[in-house]
Amino acid sequence: MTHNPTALSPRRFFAVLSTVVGVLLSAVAGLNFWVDPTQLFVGKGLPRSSCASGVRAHDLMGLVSQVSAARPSVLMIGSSRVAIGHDTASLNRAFGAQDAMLVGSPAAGLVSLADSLLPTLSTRGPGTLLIGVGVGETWDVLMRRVRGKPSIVQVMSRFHHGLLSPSSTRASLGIIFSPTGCAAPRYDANGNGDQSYFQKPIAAGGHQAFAQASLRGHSTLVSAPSAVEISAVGDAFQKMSAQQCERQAQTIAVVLPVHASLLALIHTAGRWPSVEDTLRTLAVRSETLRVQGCRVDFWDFTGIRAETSAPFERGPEMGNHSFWDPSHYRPTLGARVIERVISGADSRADHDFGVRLRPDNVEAHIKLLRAQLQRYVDDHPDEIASYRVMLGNARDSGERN
Amino acid sequence: MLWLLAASVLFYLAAQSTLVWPLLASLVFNFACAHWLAVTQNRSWLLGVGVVTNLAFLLYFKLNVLAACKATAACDGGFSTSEQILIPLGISFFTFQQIAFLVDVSKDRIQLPRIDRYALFVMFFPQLVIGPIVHARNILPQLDGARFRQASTIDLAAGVSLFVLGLFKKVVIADEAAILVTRIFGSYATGEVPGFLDAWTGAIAFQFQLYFDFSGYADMAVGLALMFGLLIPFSFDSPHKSADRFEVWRRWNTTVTEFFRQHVFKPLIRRGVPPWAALMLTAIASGLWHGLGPTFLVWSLTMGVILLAVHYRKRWFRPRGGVDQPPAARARTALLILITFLVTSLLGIMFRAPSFDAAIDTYAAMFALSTLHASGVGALTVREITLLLICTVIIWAAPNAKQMFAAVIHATAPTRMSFALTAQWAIFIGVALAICCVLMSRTSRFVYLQF
Repeated sequence: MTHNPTALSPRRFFAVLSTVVGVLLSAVAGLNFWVDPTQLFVGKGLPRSSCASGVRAHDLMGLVSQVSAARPSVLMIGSSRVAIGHDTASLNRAFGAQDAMLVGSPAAGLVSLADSLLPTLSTRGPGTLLIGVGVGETWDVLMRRVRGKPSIVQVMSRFHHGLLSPSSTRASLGIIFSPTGCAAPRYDANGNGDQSYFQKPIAAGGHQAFAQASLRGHSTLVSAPSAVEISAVGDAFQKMSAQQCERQAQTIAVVLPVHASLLALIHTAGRWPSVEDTLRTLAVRSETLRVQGCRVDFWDFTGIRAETSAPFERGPEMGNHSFWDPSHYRPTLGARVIERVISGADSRADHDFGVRLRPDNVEAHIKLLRAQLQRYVDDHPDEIASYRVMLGNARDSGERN
Repeated sequence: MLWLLAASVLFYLAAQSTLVWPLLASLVFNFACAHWLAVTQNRSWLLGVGVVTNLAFLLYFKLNVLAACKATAACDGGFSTSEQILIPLGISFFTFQQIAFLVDVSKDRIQLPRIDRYALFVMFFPQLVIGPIVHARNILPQLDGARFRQASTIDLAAGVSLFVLGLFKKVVIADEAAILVTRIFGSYATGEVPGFLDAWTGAIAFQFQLYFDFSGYADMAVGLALMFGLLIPFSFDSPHKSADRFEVWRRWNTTVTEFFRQHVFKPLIRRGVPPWAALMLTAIASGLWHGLGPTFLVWSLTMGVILLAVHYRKRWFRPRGGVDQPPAARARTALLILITFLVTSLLGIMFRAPSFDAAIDTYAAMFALSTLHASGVGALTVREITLLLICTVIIWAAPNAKQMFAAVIHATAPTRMSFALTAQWAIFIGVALAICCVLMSRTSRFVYLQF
């Protein structure tokens, strides 16, 4: 080697190199120690789950590492509904497992999370994979790309395509739809919602204020999905389920329960027919697959009943017994959803909670929902009136823009 | 030397304990064959038997992969094969390496080595898995050399640094590019077809992924060997700086290219096969070595046609002028480099697309301006754009690893970007290693692992 006046001896070279590596890795280890992403959603009254608070790489890295290390036999992955609507105990109970794991991130981070998990899990994925995506809020996110983000259909297909190993002998895929909702609220370490979006409106004005916030965040209620878009969702669902079928995996599609106030908001906005069309589409598509010999179930938990219509408390306490907010149920309800779709039973022997939809019962179910909605609308004239005002303001604002 | 052999055996057992027998069988067969070659008079017949046996051995496992892919749907196309399909690790490379050895013995280019030396030559762990294909005549003499016997700390430092740079290429750049490539080509699973920008971005990002993945491994192999005082060749010589496809062919995976040139193309020419036919047959052999699917066949045929076109029209394409080219000539060279890269990217789609139909759809999107504004997979993120820019700078504006380490490995005159044992380089390598450590958990397999 030609003489270099600034050259170090090999020993010094290694000393500098190892010092740099040591300092940097210590810094990263320190950050990991002080900023534990698994703690971000853990707090008073909330289930322990692993969730990222953001969608940047370092937000998701902790989750990826945990899943890679644990390689659980049951993995539930998704957005805020997974984070705050379920717990590992109920998953273990439903699947007879001991190592169930919940992993959540904001919906916009799910593609990154899936992509980051693929390299490590693509060949040894969990036997049971549940994808809990709050599609909801989000007809927009479901079918269109909003602000450059991928659609939820893409998110889900990414997960199912990559995470289920071809060699999995017992694989269930849960695609969890929700017909309505709001943006994923963020919770702090004490289980309190995002001050600017979530807690403040409820504290100030109950679920009407929450609906107002939903309108601000999403244009779904202002612009309903077209028939073509609903059909596209059906196509994507059918394709994904067919691929699972080829792998002898079961597909369970679930429309998650939401609070009656959001159903009323959708109804008032005149968007209810698109929800009905989606239910019909998915019921028909799942039947098509069943005729072909596939194990596909399509459940709908939409409905207005005691759990889904209890009023929200105003003040510092969030939500009610069953819901954190109108689109995010609590683990008590989440456990019943899982139990119902896996075993077909409900521990409370409440057979109306969750209906397995088929072409021959979908119309009756829709008729029942319509009647429930109409009753709710009739019983809550002030709430409906406030929604009308909000929707009118939102449309005026949209037209002005 | 024996402990290095033991380490290599352990390495192979650790990576693939269930399929170690093909390696051992191949090793024993070829050593015995070489022994007979050294003593027999009828060498060409015995060499033929040795070469055909080796190729049949390789073909058997390649066909096994193909059958397993069809039976289990475990391969989603392109390079992606499941770990469920077992193929002896590095089978292509150790088979080719031993074919070259038999040829060398038959032509008296090398003396028959002792079995332990031969085993180390075949099983030397840095190059066992993905090459480079090393020649016994280059490696075996080094085992008696001072560089190997008196392991130097300078070689150790340079080897570690080269290894870290290779690791960085793989873990940080290639795996990051893989995410983007998977996002785009994975969209076929949902029935979506990428738009114009998606298709071009996917094709280019795949070239970046492939280059950094493979050359990263190659750099790591050279670095590891250097730590032990052994010099093995670099497999990449800035292939994307090439101004025509022939150059790419020569500068990409150089040892494999040289193998095909020496052991397929030249023998065909010597037997009177017309150059165009020899070139096509060599291209097809190369394509089928990569995989036995239809996409690989179409890729190799297309590449053969392009190579022929370049061969016969080379005067039109060759840039004129020397080092001090006038601006126009420089611009023309830059244009040719760009065109060559884009052609390479187009060819690469055949490798990456999950199916032949998907490849056709991608080509349609690339040339259908109607999809100009369509983005089937969402807009690029800032992170992805940054990645593409970094790849561009490294590929076209930076020296390659061979150039950077020439001064320390071959004691040539250093350049401004040459590696040296300085504090700056130690810090740079340290930062790169720390980043690799942090990102190691997401690491995916090497693209070329099952070759």
